[in-house]
Amino acid sequence: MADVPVPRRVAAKTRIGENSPVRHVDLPLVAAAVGLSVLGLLMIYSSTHRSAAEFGADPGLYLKKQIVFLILGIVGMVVAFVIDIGLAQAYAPIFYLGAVALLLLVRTPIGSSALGAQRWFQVAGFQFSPSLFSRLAVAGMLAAVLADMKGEITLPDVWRVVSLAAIPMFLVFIQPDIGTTIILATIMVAQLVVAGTRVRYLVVLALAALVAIVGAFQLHIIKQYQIERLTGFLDSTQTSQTASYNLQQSEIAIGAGGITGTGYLKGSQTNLDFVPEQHTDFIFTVVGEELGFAGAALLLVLFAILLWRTYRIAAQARDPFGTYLAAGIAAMFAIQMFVNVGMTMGIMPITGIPLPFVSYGGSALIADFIAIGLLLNIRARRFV
Amino acid sequence: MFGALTTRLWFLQVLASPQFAKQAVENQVRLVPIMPIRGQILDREGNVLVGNGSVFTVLVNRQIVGDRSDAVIYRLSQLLNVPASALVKRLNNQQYLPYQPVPVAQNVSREEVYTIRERADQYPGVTTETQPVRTYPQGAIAAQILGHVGSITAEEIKAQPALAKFPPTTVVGQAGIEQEYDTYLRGVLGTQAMQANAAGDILNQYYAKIPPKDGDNVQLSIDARIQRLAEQSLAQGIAVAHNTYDSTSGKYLQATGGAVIVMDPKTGRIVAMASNPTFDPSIWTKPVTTKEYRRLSGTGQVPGALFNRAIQGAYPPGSTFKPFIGAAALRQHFIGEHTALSCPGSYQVPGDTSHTIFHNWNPFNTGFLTLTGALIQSCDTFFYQLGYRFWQAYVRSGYKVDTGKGGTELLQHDLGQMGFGKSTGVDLPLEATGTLPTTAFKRALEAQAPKVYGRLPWLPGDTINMAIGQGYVTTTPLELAVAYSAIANGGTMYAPRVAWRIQTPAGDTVKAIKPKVVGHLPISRQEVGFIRNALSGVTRPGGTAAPAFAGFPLYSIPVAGKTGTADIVGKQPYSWFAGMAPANNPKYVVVAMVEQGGHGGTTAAPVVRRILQGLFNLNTGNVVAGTDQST
Repeated sequence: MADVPVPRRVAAKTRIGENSPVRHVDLPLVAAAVGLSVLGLLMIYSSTHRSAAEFGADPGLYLKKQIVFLILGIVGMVVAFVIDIGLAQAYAPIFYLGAVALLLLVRTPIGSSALGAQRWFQVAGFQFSPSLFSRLAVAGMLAAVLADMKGEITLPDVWRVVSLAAIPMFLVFIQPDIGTTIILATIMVAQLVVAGTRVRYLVVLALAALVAIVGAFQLHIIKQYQIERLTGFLDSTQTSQTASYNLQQSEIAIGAGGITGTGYLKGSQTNLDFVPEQHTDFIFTVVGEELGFAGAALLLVLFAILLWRTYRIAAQARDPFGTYLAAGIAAMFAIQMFVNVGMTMGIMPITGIPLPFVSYGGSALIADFIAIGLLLNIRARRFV
Repeated sequence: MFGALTTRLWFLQVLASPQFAKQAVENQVRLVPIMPIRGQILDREGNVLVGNGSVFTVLVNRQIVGDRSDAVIYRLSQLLNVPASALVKRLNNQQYLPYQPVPVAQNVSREEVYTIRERADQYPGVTTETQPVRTYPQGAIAAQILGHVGSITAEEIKAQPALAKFPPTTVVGQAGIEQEYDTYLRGVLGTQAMQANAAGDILNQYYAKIPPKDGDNVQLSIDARIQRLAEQSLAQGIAVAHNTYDSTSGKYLQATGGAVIVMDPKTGRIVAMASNPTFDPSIWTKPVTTKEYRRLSGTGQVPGALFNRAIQGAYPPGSTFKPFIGAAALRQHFIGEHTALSCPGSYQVPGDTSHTIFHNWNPFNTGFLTLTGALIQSCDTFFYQLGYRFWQAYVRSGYKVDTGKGGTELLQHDLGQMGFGKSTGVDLPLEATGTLPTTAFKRALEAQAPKVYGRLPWLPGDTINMAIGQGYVTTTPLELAVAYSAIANGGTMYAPRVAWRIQTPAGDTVKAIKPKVVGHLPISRQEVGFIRNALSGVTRPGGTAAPAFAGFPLYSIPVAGKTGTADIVGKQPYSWFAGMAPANNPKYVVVAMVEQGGHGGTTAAPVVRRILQGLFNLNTGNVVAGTDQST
């Protein structure tokens, strides 16, 4: 990794020391994350101001809450950036166990449920969703475990990693939160691949996953509506009305946007609540409708920058833990972006996966910014 | 990954975008019909005969009432003073969908509305709203002509699919002018495109509005003043008849009903059309009870007030038919204008072995008469002889009594050209058609009920009876008015019209309605004048209507006319008078008929006289009922 040239910057007038991590902040990465968040704020306001006003609430209610989350997220990012990344590695099991404990706790009556799923805690008027933090905890835990492994990864090593991932995966799966389960699985697979796991082990893993999924179907652990939502994108005419309605309205919204969009706050699909869950999972439809292809393309470009920088950080990390963690985060962002945007356009199944930085939701936003902080930390450590 | 997303995005937003944009618009638009205002019906002076007002209506939403409906119906029944059973019946109307409020009471008072609104807890699911209603500023006139409106029925939607777009509470014309000109009066439904959200809530904001096109007004040639005059004169005549003793039947005259038509012979327009008994058209603004409806409908024997006797009733015309028999005889050259025939007290068909005697109304021989004298005196035996000439012609043309076949029915042919046996084509629904009996008609009767009628070949007596407007022949009062108008105007037969023109609500004419010329009397203009001149003697001393017109200023306004006294087995005679004035250049033709009203000169002629007095603004004092005994 030493062959990667150190980026040369024009020395700014600054009192920050040569070795200060602040000197090595990956500005494009931060800019992309903040840019997506600001775009998200605009879209959240657009999709919520009208219905909030209709209920007699402050039209900017969701916007203000998300701004608070954004500030908290940036604070979290700074904290994650300034801590010693070694601590993250050392305390990874603690975070992991904490996450698992919270996932268990959310199943008790302390947790709140909605839409048939028990997913979060109600804390001081805010909903705290442990499954979204479990993504980072799992990424950190697996990175730490993989970093500890010396030599070639053996099959028992793979099983160890899989077992560690499987516990939170199972817990989020039964919430049920298939989206997060898929994210966790992706993080795990990405980290295994980056760690150099042999292909045949991965094939075995894939087969095991297949058996697990078929088993889940047979045991009716997966609920009917989930199957419908997952398969709805394959044939919108054969599924239940609700499932195909979501997709149909979503596609109408995006399609109606055209090249330049209907204009900010002017989308009829958005303003009149035709697209369900629009400020959260279907936030991309607001971009598609009101800002058109131009806006949607801008969003994808921002994600491309984000993923490109994350990939670079993974590639240039000083140690395996940094590489594995960055790779896990990269996989997390990539799968979320792809599945989320894909589902709004009917090329991916509809699962409850938020669009990183853009969708409304504090837990996800804060967790995502902490991930950015960790990435910045990994990168900055390279220069130490 | 990005490639897949961008490709899909490009497809959705660029290639397929127009289709999605269209769907987005359709998604948010709810089309709400906007009702047009129904057109008014005006008289020829522009007076409003039928206008629009609003009434309070009580509606019940069956879904909201739910299982409390018994209590609610009981309270509504007490409040509105309507039987609960009637409310239940209206509430069960299947024309309304379960979530649509059903109107259960119309035209309720302001106080009742306030009670319902104030005590909403007592009346769950009950709402009140104002609904448009027809108003009748001229009061109870022209009820049968105007007709009425009612909620669209399933049959009407089937017949006119355009009605399906209208809400079920919409009213359409279901009788009279309201029905005949419904397509003009109705207007065109407007559409309000409302924006709605996904939940279907209307956001009181709209993208587009197609305003309704209010219904056009229909202006009638009916003159409210003359219509009222005609109705009052008819009612008065009937009232007088009720107090007139009929020596033949030994009873006071039944006078079960009557009709009057006032027509402008020069244009074929109807100026007044009265039918008695009548009713107040505003009864339709409230639900009509079954009992009331039965009373209005009447019985098969005596139809009720809904029945427009002027166009729906076909009656034997009696002697009012004679001018047309005379005209046909002139046409066939059976007689000339100066041919004199005897007028004996009775008549027998030459060579008739059954010796059937046909009586004149007057048993005395009044000597030889020309057609003029025969019309003035209404000499039956004169016309029997004309009838017999037609019979002879029928036989000469090849008719065989034995077989009931062959020959040409000359008389029916000529009378058919004068409009008999056909409907007039007036612009009103349910017009009846008079009967012009023929051999074929009799054969059909025979086939219908062989036991009642037996074998029925056409016999000389049939032609002879027809010659005095008796037997099987019937006409509606309007058919007769059209035929007399032709005598008045020199021979032109019109398909008469009640409507004059269609106007926009602003008063611009959309369409002029003109009576169509449907034929001409088959005699020369000079001969028509001859008959008219002859008829002007009827009201003068020596004529059958002379007593009825005593004191009428005939020197300034000569009246030509003909009395008729039609006999129907088992009933008192039907009284007719068909007149026109001024006889030298008639401005009006007035036909009056009173069922079981006695002789033509007794009841019908005074009715016509009263109307003419009103038409020409004459004040000649009291009109005495005639003492005429003619037919």
